[in-house]
This record gives sequence, C-alpha cells and structure tokens, in this order.
Amino acid sequence: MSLLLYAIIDNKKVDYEINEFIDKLALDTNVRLQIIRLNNLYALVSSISREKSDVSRNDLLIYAEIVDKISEKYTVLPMRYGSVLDADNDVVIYLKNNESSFTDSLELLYNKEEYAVKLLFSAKKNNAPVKDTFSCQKKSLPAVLQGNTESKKYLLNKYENYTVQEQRDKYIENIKSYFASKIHTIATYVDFKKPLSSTIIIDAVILIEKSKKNELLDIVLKMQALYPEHNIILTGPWPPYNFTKI
Amino acid sequence: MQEDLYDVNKEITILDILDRVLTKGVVITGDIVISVADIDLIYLGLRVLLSSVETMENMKAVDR
Repeated sequence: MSLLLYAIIDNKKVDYEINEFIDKLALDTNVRLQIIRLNNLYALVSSISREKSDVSRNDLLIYAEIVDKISEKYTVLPMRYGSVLDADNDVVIYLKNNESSFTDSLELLYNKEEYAVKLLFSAKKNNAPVKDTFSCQKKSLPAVLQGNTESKKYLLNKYENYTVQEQRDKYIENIKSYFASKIHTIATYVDFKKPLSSTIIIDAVILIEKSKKNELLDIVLKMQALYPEHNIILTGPWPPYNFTKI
Repeated sequence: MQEDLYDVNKEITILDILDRVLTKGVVITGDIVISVADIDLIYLGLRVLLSSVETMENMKAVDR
C-alpha cells in the first residue's frame, strides 16, 4: 500500500479538532485520512493500492470533495491528484525538504479563498461588437480596396479579418483593463489565464480574503450590468489550487 | 427550466473541479504514478462548457 496525499496544513493555524474532523469526513466520503506530521506541518493522506492505475471521473470528484472539505476548516496547500508516496517516512522527508516554502505559502494563504471569473462572448455574437464597427468604417475604405475584381475582394477580405481581429483585441483589452482595475482593489493575487477559446474574454483566478467575498460579488454584478450582452460566470470558493506557489 | 440551468452550471463547475485537481496544486516531482484513463473526457467536457453558454443564452431568451 502507498499513500495518496490530499493537502498540507499548518498545525499552528488549526483551531478545529482535527481527529473529530477526520472521523466525520470518513462517514461522509468513506475515506479515512491519516495525519503525518513534521513540526507544524500536517500532511493529510489515505492508503491507496499501488496497483490502481485507472482512475475514473468519480475518483477525481471524491478527491476534490475531500480537499474541499479540508479547506472549509483549515488553510490548505492542495495537492495535485496523483501525488503518491510509498511510506510515512517518504512523506516526512517530502515535508522536510519543502518545510520552509510550505510554511511561507500557508502563511500567505491564511484566511483567503480562491475564486474564478470567466466572461464569455455568446457563441452567436462572437464578433458582433467589432463587426458592427467595421461595417461603419467600410464607407471610408481606401481606393485600393474598392472594386469588384477577385483580387480586390481577396484584399478586402484580408483587410476585414485583420481589422476585426484588431478591434476585437482592443475591445477585449478594454474590458480586461476595467475588470483588472476593480479586482486589484480587493484581491491579494489575480492571475489572468490565456483564454482557451475565442469565446472567452476574461479567464481569471483570484485570491481574496474571506471577508472580501461580498465586494467580489459586487464587482461581478456590476460587470454583468455593464456588459449584459456577455455571460459572466463566478465560481468558488475553491481551495487555492492556483496559488500554491505564491 | 430551472433544473436544466442547474445541470448546465453543475457541469461547468465539475469541469472547473477536474481542471484544478488534474493540473493545479502542489506537485511531487517525478512521483506521479497514477495515470488518468479518461483524460479525453476532460477535453470533451471543455467543448460542453462552450456549447453550454449558448444553451444558457437560449434559456435566458425563453424566460424573457
């Protein structure tokens, strides 16, 4: 049997009876956690068979649920799924090798939560705001782009694509700048991710103090009111998966 | 209608969960022994997320 790591917590910050928590968690999830200690650091682990190599979506969701429940009670450094060590002593060595950075990170994360904000174009209206602007500009196109020959049409098409993309980038940058100016007033850290698709305008993860949750909600609601043509999705609070290296 | 919307939001949240659990968090370098067999499911799921935005748009339109 090996040990699957879920999270690391700092004993100094534990103000809730941990054994009682582990008993309750075992009832809720059928997973019995063990604690492996090094000074003030606790690693929360469970036994796992080394032979287990295929993982179902449900396994991942149970893992996430356990990390989530731990983070509701304690400040945590969540582990990525699949962090497995062979024995208690390996966990202790792992904690020892990273003691200083884990302690510092837990200190920075204390009393904070992660949220995610996504602002999306409607799939049908992907380029609508900039296409409209381009249509207005068409009247004042330079002579070299005007005409009905194939080459002129080709050039016009190229020019249109370029212009729409340029305006689209500017449009997104303006929204992003506005959001950044608001969110930086309340967030400890913000990470803007590279959008996975052209449908996404903003894909951000945010670390805030728990007490600032309502201020975050206000900002999100104001964004939705300001840009009703877009969809804004707020998720959280999450364990600080995106901020383990701060 | 509300239940449908709840299902869509739930699916988006599940994808966010899986993304975090599989690609974020503290890593033990060189000691990841578990392979995730259904990784394709995650990519499939990302497409669900994008199409579900359209679904939500449609739901909002019907409600108006």
